[in-house]
Order: sequence, then C-alpha cells, then structure tokens
Amino acid sequence: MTTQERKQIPIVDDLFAMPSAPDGQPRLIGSRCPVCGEYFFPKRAICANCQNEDLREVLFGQRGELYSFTLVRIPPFGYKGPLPYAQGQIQLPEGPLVNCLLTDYDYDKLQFGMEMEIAVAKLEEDAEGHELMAYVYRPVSKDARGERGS
Amino acid sequence: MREVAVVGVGMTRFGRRDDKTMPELGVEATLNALRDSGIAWKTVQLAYCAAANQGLAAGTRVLEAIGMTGIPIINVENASASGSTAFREAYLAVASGAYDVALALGVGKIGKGGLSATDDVRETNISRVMGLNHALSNFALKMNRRMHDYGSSIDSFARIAVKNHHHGALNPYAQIQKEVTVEEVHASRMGCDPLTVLHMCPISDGAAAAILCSTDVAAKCTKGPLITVAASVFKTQAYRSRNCPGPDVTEVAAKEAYEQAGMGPWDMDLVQVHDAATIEEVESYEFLGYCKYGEGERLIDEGATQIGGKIPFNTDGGLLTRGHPLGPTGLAQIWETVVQLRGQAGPRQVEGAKVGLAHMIGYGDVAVIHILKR
Repeated sequence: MTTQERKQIPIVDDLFAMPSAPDGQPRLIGSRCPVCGEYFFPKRAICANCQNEDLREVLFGQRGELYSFTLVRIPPFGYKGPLPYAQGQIQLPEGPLVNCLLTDYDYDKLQFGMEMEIAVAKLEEDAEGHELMAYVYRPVSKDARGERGS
Repeated sequence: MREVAVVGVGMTRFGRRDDKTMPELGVEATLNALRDSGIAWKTVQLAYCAAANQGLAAGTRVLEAIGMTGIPIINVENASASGSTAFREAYLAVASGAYDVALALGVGKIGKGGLSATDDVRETNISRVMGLNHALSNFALKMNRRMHDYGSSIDSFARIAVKNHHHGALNPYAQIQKEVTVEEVHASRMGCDPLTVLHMCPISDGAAAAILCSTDVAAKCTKGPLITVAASVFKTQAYRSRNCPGPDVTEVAAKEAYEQAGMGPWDMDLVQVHDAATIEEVESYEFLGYCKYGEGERLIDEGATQIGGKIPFNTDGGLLTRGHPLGPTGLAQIWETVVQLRGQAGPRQVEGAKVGLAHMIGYGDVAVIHILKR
C-alpha cells in the first residue's frame, strides 16, 4: 500500500468534522434546539429539554474551558495503549460539557478554566492501514504544552 | 396502597466466590431469607430477580433449585440499582393488593472482566473517543473539580474509606473485613490522579434477598418487631445542563421519600448509600439533606457519619467494603437496615435504631430510595 492510499477516517461518523487543511482544526458536530435554545453534543434527533423533534445541526467553535482533568494510570478494561494519559472535560461556551482525551500537555501546568482548543489524534489503524482519528483537546497556551501525545 | 412488611432478609458473604455458581449463591440467600421470615417457599406468590450481566433468565435459573411452584419470576436489570428496583417492584405488587407475599432477590457473579453497557462498536467507539465508560476516571474528574470548587482536602475523601473499612470489619458478610488508615488509602495504587484504588469499591460476587408481605401475613409469621416500608421512590435524572440548571436525581428522590414517610433527614437513625467511590458518599450527605453543598467534607471530618455519630452512613461497610455485585447490592442495604432495626447488628448496632434509609444510584442517573421503619 502506498502512503497516498492511507486515509484519515473519523473513528465514529457524525461526531466531528475532520479539518479541511492538514494543519487545520476539526469541529465537533452537535445540535441546537430552535424552540428552547439548548445545544447538545453529540448531536441528537429529539431535544432532551423540550422534546422538539426539529433540531438543527451545528458545528461548535474550536475553543472551550478546561472544567476538570485527571491523569489515567489504571485504564478502562481492554485498553492497550500507552499509559498514563490525561482525560479532561471541556466546557463549551454554548453549554455542553465535553469529555475528551487531552494531547500536547504538560500535566503539571494544566489549570481549571484554562483555554483549550480542539485537535485530531490517531487512536488506531484499521485493517487497511487507514488511521482512525478522534477529536482531542490541548492547551492554547504554549507554556502549558508538552511533548506528550503531540 | 396498603402497608407492606419486610419479614425476612438473607444474604451470602460478598467477595470472590469461586466456590459457588451464581444460582447456588442465589439459593443460599433466598433460603436464608425464607428461614428468617418463617414463610414457606410454597407461600411465596411472586418473585423479582435483580441481575446485571448474568445471562438469560437468572431468576428462574436460581429458583427452580428451590422449587418449581409455578409463580411468576420477573428478571430486573437496572445496573447498580437493580436490587433496589426489584425490591420496589415487589413492594408495589404487595402494596397494590395484587399479591400478599413476594420475594425480591439479587444475584451477581461479576468475576474479573470489565462491565460494558453495550457490544455495539458504534456505541463503544464513542465511549473510547470521549473517554467515557471508565468509572475510575469519571470519579477522579468529579473529585478534582470538587476540590477546586470547595477547597476540599483529599484527606476527607480518604476518611470515607477509613470509616467504611471500619464498619466492614464489623460485618461478617463484608467482602473486606480489614481496617485501613488515611495514610494507607493515600499509599494504595494510584488509579486516576488523585484517586487511589482504596477510594473505589471492589468487584464482587454474592446474593441477597428479602421477603415482603401484607401486614396480615406478617402478623401470623413474625415474632420480632414489625418492619414496614415507609417510603419507596424511583427517579431518573430530569434533563439539566449549565443553561438549564436543576437538582440532582437523588435530591428529587429524597424529597419525595421524606414526604411519603412524613419525616425529615434527621428522623433517620441510619443511612445506606451508593459509595462506589468515596466522593459519592460525601455528595450524598448534601443530596439527602444533611448539609449544604460543599459542607459534606465537614460531616466526615467531624465523625458524624460513623457508627456512634449523629447520623451513621453505610453501617455495613457500604459498596467500598461490603462489596458491590450490582444486582444484590440494593438488597444488601435492605438486609443491613432490617437487621439494624431489629437490634440484631451486634458490634455494628446503631443504638435504638427505628428508621433507616437505603439509597442506590444506577448507570444512566437512576436513583432509588427506600425508608424502612419499625
């Protein structure tokens, strides 16, 4: 297989839009309810707040605040990747709280409320050698970035 | 709705039970409950069996070994809240007058493997991407944020583990019967910073059962004090978000339970709660109305929730040391509450206990609360 044939594929459809340029950022795909104004991530068909069935698909902005974080040393059952890794929760300005893996961080410099931005990272390869990609978040501040996961 | 009595409780020791199959554990707990009640199996008219990840038709696999009497046997699954759900369904069946005698049984052999809500790769991939489906990290995220918001010390959470190890050491059915210190909790293996493994409940096997009946039937079979159900409430989390704030599902369930019972939090003599991680017990002090948000740490720091304190919590050791085989856990709480209200808890006895509350949370934000009284 040549490198040209290797593609980057989102690991789950309809969760996030891949970046349009190689150094670009992805966008989380969600829903907005035009009746009550709630935003949802991931996207859903029926409003959880008011049960309106006519939700609009939205692309979220690329930044949010770090609500909480932890360094995972004992992973979930079946996980075979490198340890430890950081997991976080990102408070999007639109409302949803997004669970995610973190990348490109210096763990000791992570702070509650710090500005984070979305990126993509390879989770694994499929049988054809395509890279299965997930969205991740990293600190906007260069000072809080590290070598890990970059 | 008529009054319902709890006339018999039984359980097995929780822990790694490689010595028995799941149905054998279920039989042991059911026979213990029947003997405790003085009611014959052929008198039981209906059975609910709580089981999570135990294969098909767990209830019939257990109860055929006791006797095939032709009664309806209904299997119940509600993750951690399965046993409490089975108890509530048995309560409703008797309270409605449709049945006079019902069994609520919980069985679980969880073994060493991981628990997964689904095998559909489209769902599990989302969990992996979002870092969900990992109880340890989700509790650690919550703990870190709480320490940031309220300035809590990790020592307060460790004291929950110390207290529940102390209570478990007094319970012959507990999985872990060993005291620990705050230093030992901190020094145990790090799971997800700052949560070490002693902040988390173990994986368990076991079974627990309760016999519920009308007060007429109870009058004929019970020699000891009559224990009745003063409240039974089941809620799922109503939608809330940062933009639509609302109460936690446990707060909603507790308010309704206190109303049903005509009592308040301080009318309880003891409380059992879902402490899969130490932080959950601290939160439950607030959700059940014992203190304001952010003050839960003070209750444990002052010793208010240990046996002998103002309001003892998890007198049998809780999930942290009695163990948590999912299906049976809510019924183990009922076992402990009934034993305490009868004054039969030995070294764990809460002096003069007359009212007890049992609370479970299940996956997907389910809360079940029962109040029992003598």
